[in-house]
Amino acid sequence: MSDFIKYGIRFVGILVLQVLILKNLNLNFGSYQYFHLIIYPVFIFTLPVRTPKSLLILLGFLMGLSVDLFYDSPGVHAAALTLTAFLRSPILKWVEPVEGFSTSAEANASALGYSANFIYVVVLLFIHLLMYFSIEAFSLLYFFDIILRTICSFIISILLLVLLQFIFRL
Amino acid sequence: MRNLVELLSRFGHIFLFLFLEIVCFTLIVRYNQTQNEIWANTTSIFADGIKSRVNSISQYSQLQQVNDSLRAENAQLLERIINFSVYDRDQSFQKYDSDSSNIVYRLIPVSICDKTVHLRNNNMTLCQGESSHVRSRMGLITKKGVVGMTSACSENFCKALLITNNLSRISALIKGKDYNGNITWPGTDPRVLEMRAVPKYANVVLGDTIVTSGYSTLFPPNIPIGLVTNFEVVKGQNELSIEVSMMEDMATLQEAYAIEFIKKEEKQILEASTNE
Repeated sequence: MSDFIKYGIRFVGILVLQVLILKNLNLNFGSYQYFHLIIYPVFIFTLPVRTPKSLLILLGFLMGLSVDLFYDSPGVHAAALTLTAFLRSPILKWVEPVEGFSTSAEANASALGYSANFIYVVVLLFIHLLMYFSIEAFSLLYFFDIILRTICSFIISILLLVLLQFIFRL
Repeated sequence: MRNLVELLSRFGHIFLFLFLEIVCFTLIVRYNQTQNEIWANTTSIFADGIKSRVNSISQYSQLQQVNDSLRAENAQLLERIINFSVYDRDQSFQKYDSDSSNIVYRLIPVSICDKTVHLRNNNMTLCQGESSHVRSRMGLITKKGVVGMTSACSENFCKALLITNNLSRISALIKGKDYNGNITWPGTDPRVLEMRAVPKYANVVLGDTIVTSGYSTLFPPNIPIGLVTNFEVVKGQNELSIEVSMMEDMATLQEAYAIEFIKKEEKQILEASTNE
């Protein structure tokens, strides 16, 4: 039960951070927007390693949908985060330390080690951003745009995300 | 049953993932304007491609029908033009059109089942017969010119003489100059006819059009036959021999119109009675 409350508070906290603060930060200069701060996938990243895969996917869908509500783009964030949640398990298995995880470990730096955790977060966040910007453009004509936005947003988001992880989940 | 449960427990999350992704995409395409438009355009490109291909296949299967209806329509239009040209010129076309007793010539579209082109006497077989109102001794024309005349008809087929036949004789005149003569086929070139009985002082010029005169019951007046390509005075006679090059090519003939002259019997009886 306390788990449920704990993760519930995390859900709400991350959601609030993303939509109320980060959404309104306008880091763009000129007429075109390349820099977006997107850190809500960290909710999916730091769920316990033993969460059932179906639950992961479902939680990803719900989180994405909630963010969508505030970004006025029904389904876009949800599609991206569902994919990320789906890919979390194989990638976690890939960076798993040799001795395995303890039963109730969360998938963060204390269980994985800083380097493994960094790789895991980088890969998943990049995939998420790529998927998000692809769906947002929805056409291969904008391929160059999509890549540019992914890279720019990735650079700033990964910095903030690692910082957040450092501060909150010591 | 156990296999199904096992399948679900191992791969259940994949099905859930696919299901949720599909739900997401449905939401995206329905509620986001840009994505909606891009989706609608892309699907319509594919759908239109497939639809146009299916359409062309189904159109191909209806070609025979379409062809038949177009020929019937053509026959009707040509009929109106021919009938109008023999109509009293004072009246206007609307008045002519509204009165159905003005139809003097009827055109029946016929298709050609068989023909000979290079013999000394050329005939053809038409695929229509008495059941389509084609009778013997009806003139046959196409848009480009006179083609021949039917000789004998059975229920479903007709034999016809082409112009390129010893027995064919057509009454013709030089358009614009109104000198009339007779056209026969000398038998040398399948595209060249000979016109005689035109007086030698007639000012024929190369390139004049030769049309039917309307004096016989076979053909209405002013149906084109060919163009003048050569003429000379026949030695020792008072007439010209005019070489007429046909506009219609007998070798490529597939379809024609049979002309029914409504008042034929009346005219023939009158001519026969005055000849006595």
